Amino acid sequence: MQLRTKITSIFIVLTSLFLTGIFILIYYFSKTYTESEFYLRLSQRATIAAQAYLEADDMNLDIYDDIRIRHLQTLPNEKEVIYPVDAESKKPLVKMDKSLPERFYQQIFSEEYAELKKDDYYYTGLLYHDNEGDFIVVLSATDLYGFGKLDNLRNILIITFFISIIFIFILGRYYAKQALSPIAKIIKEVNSIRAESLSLRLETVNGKDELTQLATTFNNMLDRLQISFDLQNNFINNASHELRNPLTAILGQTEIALNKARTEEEYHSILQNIDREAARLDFLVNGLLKLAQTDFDSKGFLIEPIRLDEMLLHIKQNLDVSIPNNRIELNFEALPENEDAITLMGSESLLKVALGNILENACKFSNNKRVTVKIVSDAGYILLTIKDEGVGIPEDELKNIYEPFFRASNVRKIEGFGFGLPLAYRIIKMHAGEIRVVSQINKGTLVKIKLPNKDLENVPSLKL
Amino acid sequence: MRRILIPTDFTINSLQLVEYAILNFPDTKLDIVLIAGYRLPDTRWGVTHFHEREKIREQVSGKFKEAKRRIVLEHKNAIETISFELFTGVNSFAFQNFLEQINVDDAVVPSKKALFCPNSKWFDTTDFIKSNMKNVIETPIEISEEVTDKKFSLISLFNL
Repeated sequence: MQLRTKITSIFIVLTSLFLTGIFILIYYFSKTYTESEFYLRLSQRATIAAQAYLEADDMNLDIYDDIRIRHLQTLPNEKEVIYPVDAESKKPLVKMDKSLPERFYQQIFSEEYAELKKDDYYYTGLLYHDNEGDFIVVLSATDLYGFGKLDNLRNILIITFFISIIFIFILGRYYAKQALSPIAKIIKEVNSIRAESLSLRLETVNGKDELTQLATTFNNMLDRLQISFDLQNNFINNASHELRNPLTAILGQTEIALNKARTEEEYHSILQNIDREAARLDFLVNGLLKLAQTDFDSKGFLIEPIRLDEMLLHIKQNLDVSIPNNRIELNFEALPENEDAITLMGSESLLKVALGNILENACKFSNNKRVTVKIVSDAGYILLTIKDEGVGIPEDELKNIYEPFFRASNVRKIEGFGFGLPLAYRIIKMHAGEIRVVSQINKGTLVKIKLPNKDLENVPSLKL
Repeated sequence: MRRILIPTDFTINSLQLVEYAILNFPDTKLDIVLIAGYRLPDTRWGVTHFHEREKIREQVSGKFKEAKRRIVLEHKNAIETISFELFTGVNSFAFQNFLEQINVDDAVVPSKKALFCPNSKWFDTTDFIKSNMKNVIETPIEISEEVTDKKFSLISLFNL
């Protein structure tokens, strides 16, 4: 079912329910009012009848009859009956009409007035006290005018109901179409976007309604898709470019070497250059291999308990060799007494790569300024903060830092390939951890890592 | 020690600004003052029964308290205290008086509009801070699901 038809149908059902309720109420109150009005008239006529017949000795019967007929219209099928009764013992002195229920007479005795409806007839009964004794006056009539009016009202309400439904159907359909037309437009526009035309965007108007938000959400999604497409393309471009550079250098060097006979020193120097470029190539290929391993085939890693503080000390020792003038400060002041609180289950080799990369980046991009590393244990998690005072990451590039080969615009001059942080991110995710980077340009970067310790119950399963 | 003013909307997200403050003021003990704007009630009853601390307490969720505690734990050396202040004024003059009272040196605010007010009574003080303070550091903060959930919740329909 189309959304448009669905909205219209729901609208019609709800409105018809509402209208039915309202119309039933109107009919019910009109009927009650008509009946009560008719009973009033009946009771007035019963009083007049009683006075006409029972006080005939005191006044002129002819005058009463004259008034009744001339000024008070006789009701349709009007019939009056007067029974002499004994009000004290509540007993009739003559035989009463047995077709009327006993409770009707009882009510007259107790309340001196009663009403009753039987078939189309309305009855009112009065207890009348006279100098000749007590009497019950029962007056009955049919309310032909009232019935006519009510029938008329019912017909009007039924016709109004159907006319309203037709109008509501037409209006509902029109407005549903109007309201959904932007969605139809969005569907058409989204359908026209292909992989080759990812730069197309949906038209958005100023406003805060849901459809504008939908269009904006689509546009944001397209932005992300385009970025990831671009990054993927860049990855291939960058990877081939980075692989080609050392290869070109090696080929150039060998060509020079083979061009003519060289001295021993020259060959030595050429071989040294080739060795350097080959080492660069080796590093690059190893990096790519690790990235691929964390992405696809991640089985076969040894899972063991690792004390994070000890691991950081090892990493620091290694970095002291590769970056001798680093200023890494390990802050273990907040270490808990319980060593399990800073022990986690994971792959030592992978975590070493991840934390090593982050620390190396911190040193590299801060020109060996101070880097502080702090471990805190809290509620089943190990919180690691690595803070440097380096160049920082530009605000709009923060979201891309986990993409392989992405390099921030302000660090192009610093050597690197751009897969240190992406690799670290994947490894930490594999250990059911979280990594967050807070950075401000020329102020520094704060890397926050949260890893579950081995004591944590309900630990999210390691994706190793 | 430096007293830093940071606008807040009582979401965990807004606490990122505290980390930016730490990043901007290394080797300094920070006295963080989190500030939120609240419009005073219109009725006499409302004004006489208005309690600043109570209003703040109503807004601070368990998760927020936990995140605040964790930040203090992580940056014990950098953070001296984190306190809350409520700005109930309506214009810049009121804000300047407020600044004199709380005596802050610097402010860290989000560069884009990232704070969300839970209802029409609450307002974001970022613009007041930007226009009335000299040392304002603008920082990027991410808007996460937490804010969007609140923004599009049923209750927000009534905050016209």
